[in-house]
Amino acid sequence: MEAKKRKPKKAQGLLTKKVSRRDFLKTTAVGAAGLTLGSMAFTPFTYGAEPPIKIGMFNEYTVFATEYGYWMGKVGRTAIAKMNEEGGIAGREIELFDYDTKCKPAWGASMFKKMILEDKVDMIMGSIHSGVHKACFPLAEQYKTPFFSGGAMTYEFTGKDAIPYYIRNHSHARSQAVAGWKWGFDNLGKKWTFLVADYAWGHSLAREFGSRIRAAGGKTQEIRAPFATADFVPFLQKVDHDTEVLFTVFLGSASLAVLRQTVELGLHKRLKRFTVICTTEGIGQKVVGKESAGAYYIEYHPRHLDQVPKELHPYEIPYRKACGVDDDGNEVGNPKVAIAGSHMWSMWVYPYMIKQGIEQTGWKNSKKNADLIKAICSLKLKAGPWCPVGDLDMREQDHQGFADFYISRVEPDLKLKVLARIPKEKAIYEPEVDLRKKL
Amino acid sequence: MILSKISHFGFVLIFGLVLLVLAVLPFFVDLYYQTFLIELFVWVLFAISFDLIFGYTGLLSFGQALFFGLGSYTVTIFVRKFGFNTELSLFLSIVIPILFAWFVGYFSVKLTGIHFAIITIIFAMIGNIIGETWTSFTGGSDGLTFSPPPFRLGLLSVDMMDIKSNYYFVLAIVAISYLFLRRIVQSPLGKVFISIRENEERVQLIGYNVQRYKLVAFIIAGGLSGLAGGLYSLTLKYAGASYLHWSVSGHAVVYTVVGGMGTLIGPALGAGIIMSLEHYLIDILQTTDLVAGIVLVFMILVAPKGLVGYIQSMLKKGETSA
Amino acid sequence: MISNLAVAILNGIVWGLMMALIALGLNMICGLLYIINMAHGALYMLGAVVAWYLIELTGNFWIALIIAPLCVGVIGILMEKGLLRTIEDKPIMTIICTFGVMLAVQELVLIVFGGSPRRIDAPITYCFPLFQLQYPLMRVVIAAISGLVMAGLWFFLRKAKYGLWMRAVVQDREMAVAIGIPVTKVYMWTFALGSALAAFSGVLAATIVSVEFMMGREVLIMAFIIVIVGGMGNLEGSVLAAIMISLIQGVGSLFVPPSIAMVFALAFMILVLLIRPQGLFGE
Repeated sequence: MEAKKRKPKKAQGLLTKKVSRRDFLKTTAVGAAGLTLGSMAFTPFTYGAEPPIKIGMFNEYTVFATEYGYWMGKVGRTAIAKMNEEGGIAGREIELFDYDTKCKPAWGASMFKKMILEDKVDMIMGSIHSGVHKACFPLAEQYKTPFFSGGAMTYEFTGKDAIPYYIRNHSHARSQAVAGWKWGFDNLGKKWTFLVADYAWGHSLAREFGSRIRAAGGKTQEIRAPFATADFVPFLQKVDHDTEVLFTVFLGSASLAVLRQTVELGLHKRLKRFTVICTTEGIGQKVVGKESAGAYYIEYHPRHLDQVPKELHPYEIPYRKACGVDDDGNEVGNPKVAIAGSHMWSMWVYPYMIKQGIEQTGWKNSKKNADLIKAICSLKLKAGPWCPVGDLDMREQDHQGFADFYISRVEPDLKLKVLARIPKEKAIYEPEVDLRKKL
Repeated sequence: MILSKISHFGFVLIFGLVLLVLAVLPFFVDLYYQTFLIELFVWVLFAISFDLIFGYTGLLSFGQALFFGLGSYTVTIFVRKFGFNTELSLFLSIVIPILFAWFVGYFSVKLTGIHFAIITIIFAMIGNIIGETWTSFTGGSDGLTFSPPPFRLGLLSVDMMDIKSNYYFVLAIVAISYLFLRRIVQSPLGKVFISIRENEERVQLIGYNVQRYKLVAFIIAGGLSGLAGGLYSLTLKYAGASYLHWSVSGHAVVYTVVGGMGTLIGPALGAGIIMSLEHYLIDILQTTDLVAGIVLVFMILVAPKGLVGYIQSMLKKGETSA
Repeated sequence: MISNLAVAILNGIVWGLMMALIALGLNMICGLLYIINMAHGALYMLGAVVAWYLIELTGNFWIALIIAPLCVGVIGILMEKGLLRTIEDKPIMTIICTFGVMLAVQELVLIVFGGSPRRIDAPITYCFPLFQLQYPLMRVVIAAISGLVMAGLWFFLRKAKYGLWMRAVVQDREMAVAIGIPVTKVYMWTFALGSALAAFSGVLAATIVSVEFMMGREVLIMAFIIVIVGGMGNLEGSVLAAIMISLIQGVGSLFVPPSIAMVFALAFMILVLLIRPQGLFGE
């Protein structure tokens, strides 16, 4: 693990750190790379006698959704290593603990316990499996351990089921719907069919998008298919004849199958296909196939470098370089491995948010966890080397973060071309809880 | 003859010793280890309940996950949605799976062998589908969390949030269940079960209603699987649809085969060994299923009676040659 | 509605034939050897995975379609010879042993192939118009291949020497040995053939569903249900069972939510098992 063991170097104090970061912000694309390497080489620092800050991380490395786990883990480890090279947090080194959730709530909860009780971590981040998160809620509450969501999409986790120790800087079913429904309504069509996997995530996206479409006078239809459906013909033929937008929500091979079979049945000729990028993260459009040309996606961060807004390039390029990602959104040296670009940035930003929170509150240990969480959840981050997604606003009431969204379309060459950028303000909805009183 | 007397005394001694060790362990090991042991106890209960129908009665069921999941959901939903107290909910986590086991078992025991296995899988599949899709009731794969109030029985009050109390609570219940099962398998009832496993036709010819006995075994196993599920949820404060998948039953199969079927202590041992391997290997090896698969194949080929069976046959050899 | 029903029926039959092909390998091994092969789904998946690598290498689907099953057939031989030979007459043992093989193979593929799904392009991409929709020709081709393979197998078992040997071994093993039939060889080749068939169906199915290390798990249960309901070893029975399940699900999905339709299909299977445990066409 990259972040675990490092020999302390001679000190030059906080001044050196500040200088290197300022230089960083000034540079252009090409210079940034060189300067990153340079600053890392010329920034000596010390780790004093204070014990390291322990951060636990767990992701889905085996069983299912492994393409997510691979990237979440990689970016998380890279971020912690880089932060350590830049001097750690408040002069303390960060020690990272990394475990597999095996995509099982019970095992994930077991690892959560292991990190808290055995490794004695100060906080935990990661995982995209909602079941794992839910199973860990009682533990986070009992041990008052801050839990930063890697990528769970269940809206209620910062809604009616929210707990004060859960923090989420990324989007979920509701914010995606709030941000994306209008563009789809205005540009793709007013009559939608939701063909979704028959479980919580599928239901919630259908509900969040659907309710807003209907409220605006549109028409919706919902078709639920089993999670591991192989044959979509029975479902696709139920799609209303006057439907204009087919919104599909599946994971894994089912998501590939539904896109492919929609085209095989000829439906793509009379309607527009729309989905969230979650359905094909880490898989890549080449694998999804040429049938996906013409499909629309909601992305949370563009996959291709040239689609990322120009003003973010100074931060995006070093971020990609550090994580081993090329301009096309594939792994360097491994062009068949596409990134989970819309999700993995969370793991890059969390260490920075934690650092800000700790340095702002003077946090030393778990006694000040409540203050730490309050500080982190009030952060209004500006685009920067540690926040390549652009500005990100955290909301205190429900610990939810908001960043920009993008609507993209798959071009004939299978590239995801950004058609519209939806500013984070459009994703805001009324908070359903007020966690400020509970901390 | 002497061996059986010694083995009975030996059992009391060993059981007592093991219990004693487990009882004092919390004073010497850290909290995480305690939580690991609590989970181990739950799976031991699940495994020995499976041993009753598989090891003793010869019924291979891949559907026990259904009762485990039912038990875990019963406790969760009754506390969370209906506001029942923990004692009653845990009690129901035995009762409700028993009722379902009665229903499923009634039909299933009319079949044997692979047909029995398939029909139990199908029932489990139905349960899984309902659990995954009826999200308003079960929370689907996300699951449900809840805060169980302390368990009260007479003057006793066990706080489920405290790991140590949780530990003793689960240990006590599993130990009692173990003794209960042991009593059954050593009783005339148990002997009928074993006979059914050995030669079903003959037992039928002697005049026993084989199907009824199979159903009894199935119901007892279902109830105890449910109890295991209930304890699991009380410990995790969580229930999820993933527990209803038939692959969960696979765990019981692995533990039982590795440990030694038809011995009760075998599955307990198997659970201990495999789960410990899983937890300790994760630092070296993230793929525990690979190891589990290889171990399973190895055991079946080399030591089909499991570890306990192997040890027993060694002892027997020693006795005859002496 | 009529058009919907027509499409559902066509698809039910086509998909049913495909499922029957997937179940065929299992049917052979179950029916002829009385071995419950829990690793069947894993062999199916291996066929797809090996084919994927072959296509990466050669770019030709049909080569992969021939070679992948051969490779998996070899694996089947290794399985039978190395693992199952000593326990072949003990069904419970074989269930657990093959279950272990399934776990191990799945994890191995996860490590080597990775967790994300990949696709195999269908060699035939033409879709013919069907009422207000289109229907992919590839599916019909697969169904036709499935029918041909099953017919071929039927003839093989009835007419070819090896086929007769296989049936003799099942009927009376001792007598077969007495006549001089190389029983162990028959077992081995039967298992190899069953594994190859599983792989063959995996390659074809991959053009529709994509290649993934978990793809065998759902298929396994369906295959078992088809085999049991159709009657172990009964080819016609499994075709009928497969088409029935497919139709119930497909047509049912038109009227009720598909998960409910699935539950109905499963409940129907339970009924069949209870009323005719020997299968619809079994003896």
